Amino acid sequence: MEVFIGGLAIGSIYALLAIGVVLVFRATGVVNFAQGELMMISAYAYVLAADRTDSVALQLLAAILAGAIGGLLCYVVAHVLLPTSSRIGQVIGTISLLVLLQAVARYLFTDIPLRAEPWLFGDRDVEMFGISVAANTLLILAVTVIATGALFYWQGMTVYGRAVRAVAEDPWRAALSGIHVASTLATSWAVGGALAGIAGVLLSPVVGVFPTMGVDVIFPAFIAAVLGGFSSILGSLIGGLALGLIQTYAVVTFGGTFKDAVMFAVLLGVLLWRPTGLLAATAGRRV
Amino acid sequence: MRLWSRHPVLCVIVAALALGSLASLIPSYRLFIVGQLAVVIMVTVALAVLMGGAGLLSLASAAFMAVGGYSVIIAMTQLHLPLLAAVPLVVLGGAALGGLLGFVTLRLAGFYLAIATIGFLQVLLQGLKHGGALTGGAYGLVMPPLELPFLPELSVESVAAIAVSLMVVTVGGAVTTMRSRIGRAWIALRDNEAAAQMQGIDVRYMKVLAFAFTSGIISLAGVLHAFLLSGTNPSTYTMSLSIFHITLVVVGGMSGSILGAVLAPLILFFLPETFSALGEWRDFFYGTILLLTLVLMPSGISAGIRSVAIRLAGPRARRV
Amino acid sequence: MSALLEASDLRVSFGGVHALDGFSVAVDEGEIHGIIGPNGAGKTTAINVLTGFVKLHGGRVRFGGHPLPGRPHLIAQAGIGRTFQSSAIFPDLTALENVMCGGHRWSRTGLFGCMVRSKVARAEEAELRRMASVWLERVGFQFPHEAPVRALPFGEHRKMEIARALMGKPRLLLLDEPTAGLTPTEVHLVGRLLKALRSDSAHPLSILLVEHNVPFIFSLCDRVTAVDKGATIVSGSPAEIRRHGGVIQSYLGNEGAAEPQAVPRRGETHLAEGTPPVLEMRQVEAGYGRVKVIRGIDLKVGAGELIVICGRNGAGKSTLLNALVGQPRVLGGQVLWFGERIDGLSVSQIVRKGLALVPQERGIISEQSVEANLKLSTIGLRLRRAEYRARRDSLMERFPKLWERRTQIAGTLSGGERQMLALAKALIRRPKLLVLDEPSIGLAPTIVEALAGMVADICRDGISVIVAEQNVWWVAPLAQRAYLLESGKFIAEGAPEDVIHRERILENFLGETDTDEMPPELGPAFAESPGAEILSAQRDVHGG
Repeated sequence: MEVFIGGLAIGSIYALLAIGVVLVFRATGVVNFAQGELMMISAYAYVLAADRTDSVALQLLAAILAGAIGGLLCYVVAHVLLPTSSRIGQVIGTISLLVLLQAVARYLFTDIPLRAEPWLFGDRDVEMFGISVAANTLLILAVTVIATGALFYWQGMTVYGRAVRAVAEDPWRAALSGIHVASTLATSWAVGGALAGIAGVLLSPVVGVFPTMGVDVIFPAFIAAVLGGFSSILGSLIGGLALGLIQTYAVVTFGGTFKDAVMFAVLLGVLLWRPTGLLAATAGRRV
Repeated sequence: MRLWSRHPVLCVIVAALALGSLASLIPSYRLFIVGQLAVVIMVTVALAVLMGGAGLLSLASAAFMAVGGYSVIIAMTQLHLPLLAAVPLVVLGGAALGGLLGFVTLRLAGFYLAIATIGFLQVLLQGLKHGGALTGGAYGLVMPPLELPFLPELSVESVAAIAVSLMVVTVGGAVTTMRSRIGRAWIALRDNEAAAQMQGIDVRYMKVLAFAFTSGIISLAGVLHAFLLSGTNPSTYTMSLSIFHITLVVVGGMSGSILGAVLAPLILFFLPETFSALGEWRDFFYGTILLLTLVLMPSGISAGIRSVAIRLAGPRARRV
Repeated sequence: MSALLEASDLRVSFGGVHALDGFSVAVDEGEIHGIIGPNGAGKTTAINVLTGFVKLHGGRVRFGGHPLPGRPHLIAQAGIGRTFQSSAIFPDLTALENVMCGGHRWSRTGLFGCMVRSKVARAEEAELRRMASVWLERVGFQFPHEAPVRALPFGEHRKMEIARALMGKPRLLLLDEPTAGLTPTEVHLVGRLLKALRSDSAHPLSILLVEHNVPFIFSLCDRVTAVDKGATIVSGSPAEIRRHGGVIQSYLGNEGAAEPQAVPRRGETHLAEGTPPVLEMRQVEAGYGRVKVIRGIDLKVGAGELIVICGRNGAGKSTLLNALVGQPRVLGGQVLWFGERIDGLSVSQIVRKGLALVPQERGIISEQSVEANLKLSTIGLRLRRAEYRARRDSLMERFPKLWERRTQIAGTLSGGERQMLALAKALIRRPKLLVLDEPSIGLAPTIVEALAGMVADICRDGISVIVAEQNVWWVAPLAQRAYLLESGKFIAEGAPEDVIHRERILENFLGETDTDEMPPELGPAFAESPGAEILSAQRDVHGG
């Protein structure tokens, strides 16, 4: 049971990052390699804010803002600096941002991990199903589910979500419908960054805050997104949770050394069986 | 120009020998980096054919470098094959493995293909790290002395010079291939698969062929890399290495042109490597150069050079 | 003589919809065979089945007495060549290399031979090169053979594709809308080429072509097959088809479709003195990159005015209209909207000011439903729900068919319905100026008539309209003024009749053919070209 909940918790982090990636991909067609770095700067923002204020709201706000600003930075790189570049060129642009953000973090904070306190509930435990679970773990799950639900509503039910999809389909036609393309794109990037911010707050107490914390989780997040079809928010949530569970059980069964191998073996198997992910959609061909 | 199109093999051999012997004049501490540059160029050229030419996004370049490096040592130490037999065998084996990977992933495209090739790389890496005595575990393998018949043992310097020569051969082969019916078929299937099929191009066969061809080259680069470093270490062949290679290809240009693939490593590998005195600023330097190249030449170096050339040539060229 | 290609009773369905339902065709050796039918009759599906891109659910195809191989490249190797409806060139290769790709079928050099450029490889390459340039000459390709093809005019792409298909030495050539997007002169050229190919004794060639341009088919083909709703109605000589009642019924609408009878006459000009015009362009220049496509454009549009801009393919019509809404950016001159400068604003800002553009490819959001498309078009208007409903319902009275399909995904609509949706999308914003780019393209003659009525209604509501058209017959009677665009400049303006007269002279001047040689049916009314894909491809080519 602990293993199960633990798996769901790490899966939630993957899911949050994956949803951020998918959100941006759906709107812009760009796979954001710097998503993990957005989480990293948010985590630093959270730790710095926690040093200065006791208000949990302000701490959270600092992290989310940092993530959103990072997202806007990605927007600037991918769309303002590289407007005529190919999609893959824009993706490489986010990689250059990844390198730069990591270099900045290493310069400012060195490689030594900073400790982060769990947000809101501290170290408290909760009795549940006869076992005690860290309150923070439950918090991770709850936040992920709420965030996913809100995004699902935003993207699926509101006109704004439709506008985002219209821009993704064809910016020119969307603009002819009166949709402001640039601000729609920027919003998607900012929301994707804010999601990374939430992930940063939730993950940093678990692993600490250090410059390469992003790259460690970005590929599992990509895999989660691929498992979910790479264009579906719900799919990414399911993909992330499933991946978290697979990884955790793999560690329990085979030991930590084969964690990655099992994860990628699962991925390869799924892709060869269903080339566009479990919850297939057609958007995967557009990289 | 005429000579090149008539006798490309002759031209390449002459150029390879010339550049190789020119390289051996470089002071030895430099030569090591030049040798590495040659290896990086070989990988980039291969990937430029695979990604730019055939449009197949692969992040398995590090994996095939590992395949080359490990299997050449295993062939020489465990199977006791002579150097001159081991290398061609390894290259063929790498090509076969690449063809197999291409065949298995035929149904995948774009980012899915990239992620699947990452999966291949990771599984292979785990296998190398836990391969026991065969792969040397986390420490990797040590290169045995490189013996050639009738010649003294190969030094790192001569390996670097040979790497430069082989790089020239690779570039020549890639250029002739891209300019042939097979290269055109790759570009055709990249741009429009349906139309390519209607020209009688067997798209599946061509994709597998592209994977095999490029994996063979990358394996050879992996062999040279292991020679240069006198061994293999599993921590060399990471995903970051693959991503670095992809970056070079994109910066060079994704149009299937080989020129960019030769120039990009000079800018993004050789420059930062030469300025290694920068220390902790190296990453800044690399990230900035990367971003700048992307901004200044959004379609890659080769296209950038072409447009500059057209502008320099003035109205005369534009009229043609 | 037995038939070269024999397809009988083909059946294909996509998700329950029968695309082909009893389609049969037989093509003899050395025959030119045409397939005609309305939009959505299954013509392209038939071609896709014959080339292995679509799996058959029933029926039988035999080619040269053998069953057809399963995969497209094997079919190509068996001797069937084809062109595609939308431009299917390889943009990174030169024209010559594009055509050389067509020789892949019979060239044999392997990877190693290519790499070391063996003697065999060199000989083969030289032969490919020689044949490719011969074919390029024969199809009348007008640019240097080493030219990059990405930015070439659409007609040249077409010719190149035909040359590429011929390069494979096919026994049967399938052409999907070969004249789509070509000018009458070019259409004529293609017709002459196809006839010449058939009578070329060195390579006996049969041709099967799908076309919208009925007069073209009738003047060219030995036999014609008419299809509707996925089934063959009748096969026979052009004369037989012409007389066949069912064909006329299904394809041409109820009255044989010549120039429409009941087009309403034009209204009065509302260009009042003193007030600024709705739109004014002053010495506008625009283009892509460093290339200026249009230069020195002056244009004034008053309230409720209808203005026609005519000109041949590639004259710069689309660039002019797109520049109006800000993409491509105006490079020189001014665009004034009620006296206020709007050049430099973004597309959506200009649209929100009340300028609606319906582009050639209609500009609908094809992955979303009809209703969602309308809803999206009200973004930024801050309509109350009731107001939105009122606008929507009043529009739906105008387009009742659209209302029936409100939950359908817009990409699955037929050509006519797409145009209706595009108009509805533009009108729901209550624009002050409506700009239509080639609105009649790809529409059956009956629908074009309906369109003319709608445009007249829109003008009557006080909305100004600019229409850019290659085929002006339907809109000219409504217009107050017309402009003739050539090479990015207005070379004539004035009353529509005069301008159209000038256009015909110009067309004949630019074309190399004699007017007398041109089949009389080939009037501008039938040089319509279907297929939104073609046009969007064209836009991509121009970098829009």
